[in-house]
Amino acid sequence: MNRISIGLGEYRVGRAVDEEWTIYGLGSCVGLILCDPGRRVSAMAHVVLPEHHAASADEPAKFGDTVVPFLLHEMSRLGARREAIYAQLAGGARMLSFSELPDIGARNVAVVREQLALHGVPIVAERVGGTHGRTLSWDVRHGVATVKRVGAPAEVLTPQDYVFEEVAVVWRSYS
Amino acid sequence: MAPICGGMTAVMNEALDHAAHVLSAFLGTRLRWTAGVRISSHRLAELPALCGPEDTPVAAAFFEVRGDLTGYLLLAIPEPAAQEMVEQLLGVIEGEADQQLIDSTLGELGNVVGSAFLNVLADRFGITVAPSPPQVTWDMVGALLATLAGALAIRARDEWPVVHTQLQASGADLPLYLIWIPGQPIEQQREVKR
Repeated sequence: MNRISIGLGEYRVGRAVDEEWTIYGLGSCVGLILCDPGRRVSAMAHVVLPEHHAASADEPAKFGDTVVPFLLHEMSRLGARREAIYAQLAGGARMLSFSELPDIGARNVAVVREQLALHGVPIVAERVGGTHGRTLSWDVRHGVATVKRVGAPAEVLTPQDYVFEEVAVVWRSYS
Repeated sequence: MAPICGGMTAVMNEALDHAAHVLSAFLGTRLRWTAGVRISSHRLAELPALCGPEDTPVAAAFFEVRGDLTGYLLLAIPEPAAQEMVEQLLGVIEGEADQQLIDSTLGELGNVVGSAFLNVLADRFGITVAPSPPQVTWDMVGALLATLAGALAIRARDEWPVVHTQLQASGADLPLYLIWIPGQPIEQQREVKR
C-alpha cells in the first residue's frame, strides 16, 4: 500500500486505489474526507483557514469556504454521485491561544460544516475541537478512517455501516 | 526555503548563545549547538516538518511576543527527554511529580530560555518586548507548528522568516528546538544598535 502524506492546503482525489492518505499533526486545521462508497471515489483535504482571500484563488482545498464544492467537482470527474457522498472530519483544535486572532480551529470546523450542509453532504463521523492534535488517516481501498492522538490508541473514525461492504462483512464475522 | 543573510544572523547567534548559556546554568549541565543557527525563509507548508516527523510527541512552551517587536517563540523538547529533564529539575523520581507541577516547571524553563533570547534582541535593537505568559502543551510537534502556520496564513503571506536551532545536552541525546518567527520581515526590523 502506498502511504501518502497530505500537507497544509493540499488535497487528493482517487478511485479504489491501494493507498493510505494521512494528515499528520492536525492542530487548528481540519482534515476532511469525502467518499462515495458505491463508486469507491474518495477525496481528502487539509483545510488551513475558514475563508479564502483574494490572492488564494489557486488553492481551493486550503479554505473551508471553497474546499467542499471543489472536492465535489473533482470527485464527480471520477464518477462519484453527489447524492451518495458522505463526509468525515477531524481537527479544529485550539492548541494555542493568540491574543489578536479568533479561535481558528472552531471557525474552520463551523465553516466546513456549513458548506457540507449547503451542498447536502451528511457528516457520518467527526472528532473535532478540544486542545489536542490529531493525525487522520484514510485507507482508500477499504474506506476506513482512523484518528490518532498522543498518548491514546488509534481510533477507527468510520462507523461500521459506512466502511466498504467486503470489509464490513469481515468485521461482522469477527464480532 | 531560502537563506537570509546579513547582520541579523550575528544578533540571532548572540541571542541563542545567551539562551543556551542561561539554560545550561538553570539545568546544571552543559548545552551546545548541534545544528547551528539557521535563519531561513520558509513556505508555510514547510513549517510542520521543521523539527522532524510531524507526529513526534513534544513538550512545548509557546510565547506570543508583543511590543515593538512582535512574533512567536516556541521551545519544543521531545517528550521523554522533557519528562526526564523536568523530573531532574524537581529532584523527584520517575512518575512522582503531578502534571500541574511538571507543566509549571516546563513553563519556567520556557521563561528562562525565552527571556534570555528576547532580552538580547531588545538590547541590540533598542526596543521593548512583551512576551505573553508561557502556554505549555504536550502534543505532536507538527500540530503545534501547523497551528502557528494557520495563524500566520491569516495574514495572506505564504513565506515567513524563521530562526531555528537545536540544542543538545553534552553526553546526552536530548535535543531542544528553539524557533522564533518574527511578526514582521526580519529586513524590516530595526537596525542593530552599534
